[in-house]
This record gives sequence, C-alpha cells and structure tokens, in this order.
Amino acid sequence: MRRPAGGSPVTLTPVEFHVLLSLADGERHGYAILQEVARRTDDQLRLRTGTLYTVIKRLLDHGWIEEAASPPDETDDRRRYYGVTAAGRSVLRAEAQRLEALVRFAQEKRVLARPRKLAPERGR
Amino acid sequence: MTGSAHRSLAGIAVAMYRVILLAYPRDFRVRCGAAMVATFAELCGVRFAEGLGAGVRTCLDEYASAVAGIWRSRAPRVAPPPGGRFGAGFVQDVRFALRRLRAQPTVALLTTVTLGFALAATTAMFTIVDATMLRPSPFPEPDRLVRVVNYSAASGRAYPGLTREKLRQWRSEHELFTAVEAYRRTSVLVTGGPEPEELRAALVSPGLMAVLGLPPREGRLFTLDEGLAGASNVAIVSESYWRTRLGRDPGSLGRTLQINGAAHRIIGVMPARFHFPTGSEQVWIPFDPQAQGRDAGGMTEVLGRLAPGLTPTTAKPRVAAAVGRLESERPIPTGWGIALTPSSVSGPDDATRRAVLVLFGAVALVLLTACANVANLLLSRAIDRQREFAIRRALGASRGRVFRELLAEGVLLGLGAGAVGLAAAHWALGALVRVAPAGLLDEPASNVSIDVRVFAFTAVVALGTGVLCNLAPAFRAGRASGHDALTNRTKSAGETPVQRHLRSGLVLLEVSLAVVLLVGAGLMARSFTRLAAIDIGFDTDGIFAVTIGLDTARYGSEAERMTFLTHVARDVAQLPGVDGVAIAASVPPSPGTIGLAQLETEGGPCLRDRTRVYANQVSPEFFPLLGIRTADGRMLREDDPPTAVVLGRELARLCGGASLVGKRIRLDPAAPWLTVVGIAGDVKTIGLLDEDGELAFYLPPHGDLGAALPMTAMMIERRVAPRRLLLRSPRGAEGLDDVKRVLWARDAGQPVLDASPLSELMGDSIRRERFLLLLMTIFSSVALVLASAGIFGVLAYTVAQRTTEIGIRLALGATRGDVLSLVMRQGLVLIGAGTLLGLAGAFAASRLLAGLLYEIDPRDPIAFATIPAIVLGVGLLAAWLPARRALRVDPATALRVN
Repeated sequence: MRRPAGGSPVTLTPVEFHVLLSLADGERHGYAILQEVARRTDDQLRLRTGTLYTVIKRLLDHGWIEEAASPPDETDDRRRYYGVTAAGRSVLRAEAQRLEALVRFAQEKRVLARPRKLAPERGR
Repeated sequence: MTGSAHRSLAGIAVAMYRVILLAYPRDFRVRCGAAMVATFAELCGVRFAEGLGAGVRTCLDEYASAVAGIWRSRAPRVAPPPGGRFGAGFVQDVRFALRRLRAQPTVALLTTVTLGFALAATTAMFTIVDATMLRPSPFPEPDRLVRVVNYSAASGRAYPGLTREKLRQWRSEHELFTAVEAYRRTSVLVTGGPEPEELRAALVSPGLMAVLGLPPREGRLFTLDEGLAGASNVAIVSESYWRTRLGRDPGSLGRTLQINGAAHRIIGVMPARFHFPTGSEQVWIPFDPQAQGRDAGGMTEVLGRLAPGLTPTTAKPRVAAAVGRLESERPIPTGWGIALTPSSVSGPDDATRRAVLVLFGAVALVLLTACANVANLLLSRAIDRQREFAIRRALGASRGRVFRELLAEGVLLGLGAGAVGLAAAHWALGALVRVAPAGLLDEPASNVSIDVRVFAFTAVVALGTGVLCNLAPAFRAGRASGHDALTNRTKSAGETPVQRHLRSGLVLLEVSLAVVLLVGAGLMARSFTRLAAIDIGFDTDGIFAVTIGLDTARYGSEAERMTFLTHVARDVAQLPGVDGVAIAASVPPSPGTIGLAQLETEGGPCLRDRTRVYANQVSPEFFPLLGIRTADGRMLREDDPPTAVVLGRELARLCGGASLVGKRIRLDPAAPWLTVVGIAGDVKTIGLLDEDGELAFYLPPHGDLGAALPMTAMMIERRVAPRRLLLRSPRGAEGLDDVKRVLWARDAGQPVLDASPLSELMGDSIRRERFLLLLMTIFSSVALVLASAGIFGVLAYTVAQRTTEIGIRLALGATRGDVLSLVMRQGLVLIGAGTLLGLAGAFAASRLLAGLLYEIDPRDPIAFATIPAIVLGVGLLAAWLPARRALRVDPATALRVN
C-alpha cells in the first residue's frame, strides 16, 4: 500500500477500491464480491480468488473491513462474510472524492465530455 | 455432466487448491484460508455445472492466481531491513552461529577436524581424478588416435615395431587410416644451449606432429621432405625448453643446437600442453622410418589416425578384412596382422581409470562415514541444547528462524572444514604424487595441483556436508516446544524414539560403510599377497644389481664392453664379503634387448611368424647366483664357444623342448647357427605381471648378439650403454661403495646409474598394486575408527541417559551381568546389523574391483569371512568402555539425581 508521507490521503489500488465498494452497501461473502465486481465492470475486471483474498487480507490488516457474521437466512455455512468498517468507509469516500476531482479536471480540459443533463436546466 | 461426476471433480479440484494454500504464510491461512476454499469451491461447482471445459479452465485460472498470490501475500508490510530479506537476516544468523560455535569449542573443533581431514582426502583424490581423467586430451579427436602394433593370430601375441614394408602398406590403406606415422623415444646430447645436457627426445616421421593436430606456438612443423637423408637437420623444441633454456626469445627460431654432434636448426616451438609421447620429451627430430639401417624397423612405435568415424573397436572388422586380403595377395614372413589400441596420448588406459575411480569411490565412502559421525555428534549436542532453543522460541523466534540459524551454523562448520581440508589436501597431494607409481599419474607431477575447479568442488562439497550434518539437529531444534523444555524436565525427557532411531541409524550406516571399505582392502590385500608370492623364477636374497653406464664412445663394441666388465667382476670378486659376482647385459625387470626372431631349428622353422624374444648376455655365474633352475642340459661355462646358447624353457618349448639340447638353432635366416647347451627355468623377465616375458635366451659374454638376432633395437638409444654387475653381499649397501671404488680404479669415467637390491627392483613392478593397497588400507582403517567412535558415542550417550534406570535396576536386585547385557545388547545389534548391511553392500560392489585383483575372485570367501570378525572385535571393544561405565553406576547417587 502506498502511504505518502505527511498524512495526506491514502490511495487505493483499483482492486481494493472495487472490493470496498462492493461491501459499501452491505456484507458480502467472497463469491458474491467476485460476481458483483464482474457485473459492475461488465466483465472487464474478473477477480480470481488469489487476487481477491490477498486484497481482503490487506484490508483486514488495515482494519478497513472485518469478518462479519453470516446473515440468518444463509444456508451454506462454508461462506465467510465480510463487512466494511467505519475507517474503511471513510477511506473509500476519500478515494471516491479524489477520483471525482480528477474527473472534473479532465472535463474542464475537455478530455472528458460533460454529462448531458437529462433534466431541463434550471432557469430555462 | 452428471451431478455426481462434477461433484467428484470439484472435490478433487478443491483438494488441489488446498495443497496450493499450504504455501501461504500461517497467519494468512488462519484468517482467510477457509474463506478462500469456500469461494473456490462455489466458483468451481458453478463452472463445472456449466461444462467440463469451463470448469477446467476456471480451475486452472484460479490455481494460477493462487500461486501468484503466494508471493504477494509475503510482501513485507514494513520496509525490509537493509540488505534485503536474505541479506541482513543471513548476516545476523551467521553472527549468532559464530557466537554459538565459540561457546562450544570442542564440538566445533572435533567437527571441523573430522570433516576437514575427510575433505582433504576427497579433494586430493578429486585432483587426481581431474588430472588423469577429466582433463581432455589436448589433441583434436583423440579417440581416433591409435597405437598400431604387430599381431600374430597364430601365436596370439602382439608386439610393437612395424617393419618398413608393413608401415608402407598400412599407410596406403586409406579406408582405415588417414595417416600412419612412426616415432622412437630416445635421449640426445644437446650442446649449443646454455650448457651441455642429455635430454629426452623423440624421433618422429615428418608428418606425425601434423597428425596429432596441435599447431606450434612459434614457427612451424616439419615438412614432408625434412628428415630424409641429406635434408638439412631441423628440430622442434618444447615450450619448457624454450622457456627455461632459450629465455622465451622469439628470435631463437633459426638458432642452431648441436644434437648428438650434428647441427640442427630450430624451426618451431610446441605449446605447453603438447606432450608426446610422454611428458618428458623436450626435442623432436624428424627421421625417415623407411631409411636403411641396422634397425629394420624392429622397435619403432607406430601412431595412426583412423579414418573419420572409426574407433579402435569399430575398426576391428575392417582391419581383419584388410589383413585377410593382404595375406592372400602377398604374404610376408612377419605376417600382415596388426592390432589397434587407443593411443596413450588419448588418455589413461582402462586399468588406470578403474583404479582411480575405485579410489575415488572409497574416499567418498570415507567422507560419508565422517559426515554420519559428525551428524551424530551434532544431533546429540542439539538434544542437549533443547533448552536453549525452547527459550529462543518462547522469546518469539519462529521455527523457520531457528532452523535457519542452525543451518548457518552448518554452513560455517562446512566452510571451516573446507579450509582445513584444502590446506591438508595440499600437503596430502604432495605426498601422494611422490608415492604414486608413474603409471597411475600420466601427467607430469607439476600438472597435478589444486586449481580453480578443485577449489570449487571442495567448496561445494564442504558446504553440502556442513549443511547435511546439521540438518537433523536443525529440524529438531525448530520443533523444540516451549513448556517441557523450560521446566527442568529436559534432561530426563532426553531423546525421543525418533531421535534414538536416527542416531542408531547413522551409526549403522557408519558400520556398514566401514565394512564395505574393509572388504575392499581385504580383497586387495589377498590379491597383493598372491602377487608377491608369484614365483619369479630366481632368487633375490642379498643380491644387488649395479647398473654401469658404459660410454659407447669409449667401448664401442659389445665385446669391448663385456671384456671390461669381466675385468671389473674379477676385481669385485676379490672384495671381502662378496659371495658371488656375475655380469649381465640386463637383469629382470629390465627387458634388455628385445628383438624379433624367426625361430628355426635344423628341422625347419618353429613358428610361421616372427615372434618377440628377450635376449641377454650373461657370464656363467649368472645362473647359480640367481638360482635359476636348470631344466635340461647345463648352463653356460667359461669355455663355451661364442655360439653357445641357453634357451628359456618357454622358448625351447616352441621348438621341440628338451630334445633341443645339443642341437642347433638360429633366430634369423641371416643369422649364424647357435648350439643349445641347455634349457633354463623361466624367469619373469619384465616384472611380476609379465605375461609373455618368458621367451628368453642367454648368450655368453663373448657371443655376438648383433649377429645372432639382427632384428633388434634398443627402446631408448643412449650415449651410454647400461650393463649390470650382480653380486651377493651380506654387507649390503656398504659393500657397494667398495664396488664403485673398484670400478673407478679401472676406469674413472664410467658412471654408476643405479645400485639397488634386486628384490626392490622386482617389487617396483607391482608398485601400482602396492599403492592401491596402501590407500585402501588407510581409508578402511579411518572408516573403522570413525565407526567405532560412533558406536562408542551412541552407547555412552545411552548409558548417561539411562543412569537413573540402571540405578533403579541395580537397587532392585539386577546383577552386574544384567546391566552389562543391557548395554552390550544395543551395541551388538548395531554392530551386527551394520555388518550384515555392509557385507551385502560389499557383495554387490566388489564386482567393481574385478579388474584390479590378481587371481582373486571378487567374492573371495576368506576376505568376506575375516572382515566381520575384525569389525566385531573392534566394535565390542568400543562398546566395552560405556558398558564398564554402566557397571560403575552407584544406585544411591543415581537415584538421587533427578
């Protein structure tokens, strides 16, 4: 994990970001995370167990995710669930904001097109 | 896919996945292992349900990812220490290891010395192996170089020296040879250099150097017309001559050397690695083997280069075909038969190779024994150090860490032993080379030295043995658990059954290795005694052979030489204490004059082909002095005519045996008839292992050898003609000074080349066997000592461990005998099992000695029966001391210690 000196915000690797993102709206088990990431990125990012779990271990060590109890309706007791912690959530938000800022700069420079507003502009 | 099929496939896939997970660090597996397996299982199950191909593809992808994850999971979260993972950690390990070794100096010393000396022997032997066998011949395609000798199918004998006609004919057989060249070893007197000296030289046919294939370092090789009579005299010198006598001066090309009185221009210098035909020739002079001369080609050696793709073995059928063709087209008296053997320039012969390999194998066994011994020692030390390791583990050292530290200790010990070994090897090698017979080490002694390859070999082996010996202790130390060791129960916990079996196993190994080596030595000893007991056909007790080098310039003819010697002999006979004097041209094991004889009696030729014979000229005292038996007739007398001859029995047998006495025989159609006065018992003319040296005959001193046997040549033509004075003198070596005085009183200018007891000279011919026996005895004795030490060590340890138990037994009424048998039983089991194992091993391996044993079967029962007795005796002795200590255990004190 790259930790720049002086307490400036942490950057996450893409895989770390995706895993945290998957856990942002609820606890999930490993296979579910794989599936969601694949769906979200349109099969662009197909995680494998080796990659996934080295990341999960790292996130666990940092304290950004934690093992969670299986939900009551879970029948398969081999599945291990994970959930994001408060610290993890704030790291995730910080990273998302950083990326958003980068997108804005790209739009100002006309590298990216500004999104067409579907709703009518205010004041028209 | 059916449900059950893909379920079982999935099951297998998951099992394999679990195996991969084992490579992950422990805490990773604890935290995420179950989750990983569950996820994989789910994924896998889904894919296999989709189809076999999809399932397999997915599994493979997952495996790959899991394997890649192994590295990523081990990435350090903090910056690694300076020097990288292995750098600083290793340095620290080494520092700790050094400290630990210093704390137990005796163990370290014992280990280093034991391993060091074993390594020294190994290194020395490897150097010899390297020098004799691993260094390739300097000549290109050396296996096409062959020695060509005559071969007579009728008598089954092979002998060197092709006649001119044979040489010419075989040279033209282009299907077989690309070249056939001749050479003769000789010595020459060289003046014109810094000082006059006699050098070993070789006369070579002009094309020979080119056939060998090594270009000169300076200048050029001979052209084909050099060496012909009338051509200007030229010579090529060796690199060492150029370096030491000519000062490496490139301008020395064109300088003139006086060789045997004739001016020769130096036209070339050969590179340092060029040796032909042995390592001692310094000058090469061209000659024409086809030239006329007294020597009709009798003893010229022939070197051939086979046609591409042929070896001496594969060429055999072609040779046979060619011989057959020539014999039918144009038979000649000597026969066309030839035999090809690999030339000595292409490497050592089979017997030498085998001897060297056997010795190397033996030394490796000694090293293994030493390793087992050291491993045992270290293991017992590790058991004692359990407390130390347990503390370290309790303080947080990981199992791997402790393991690595002990491995570092092993490495240090190995390096130490290696250093000791190299130093000792240097010394050992010097001794070995001096003692080794010339035939065993073809290389000149300077080439056999410790070089980079040997150094690298030693370093690797030393490190390997150091690590190997510390491996078991390292494993043990890693597993030292906290609680038991930290409480005081370490001592009585002692060794586990596993450890005990390991130590016993090591000792078993040592004993069996010692037995194998001892059997080898025993076989060689038996072979050697057989050899030494060979009937050589004459006595050597108290007889000395004085070799006088008669100057051929002063005593030009054989008659003059013999006359001079006869006078000297008469003077010597007057000396006090001299019990008998004889003169002879040569005495065994010197071959003397060798020639090719066409044996013929008055009834016709004895053999169709010429055959090699050994000629000697001796005074009548020769036969009684040496105790040579008279088989038939009588021996030579003073008053015999010059044409009298005494035949050796084997030679006489070829021509009719006892009936020859009184008849006439001649050795060449052009030779005068000789009268056979008697037949003498056979002697081993050229040494104990001589097979066909018995075709000998003896002429009186005033006989004319040159006329009787025209086809002769001396192997080495020298300015001085060596002749022998034989005498029996109980005074021994002191009497020789008197002999020299008497000789020089007659003529001060004749050097004494040698003066040795005859027994010593004959013993020289079995130098190689004696050398092998010596080394094998040393090796096996060392192994036996080590094995005994091993037995002693194990039993002593057992007694120390079981002191309490013994005390209890004694207190409960056990007799001394019971205690004794308790200890001895363990010892006997070790010795007995080890011996049986060793005998089995020796039984299997003794075949390797087959080529080196003389008239002894490799499965010789006497050797195999006596060795176990020796081992048993020594082993019992080694077991006796700990047993006695057990007897001296005082029950009271033993029970109090806990």
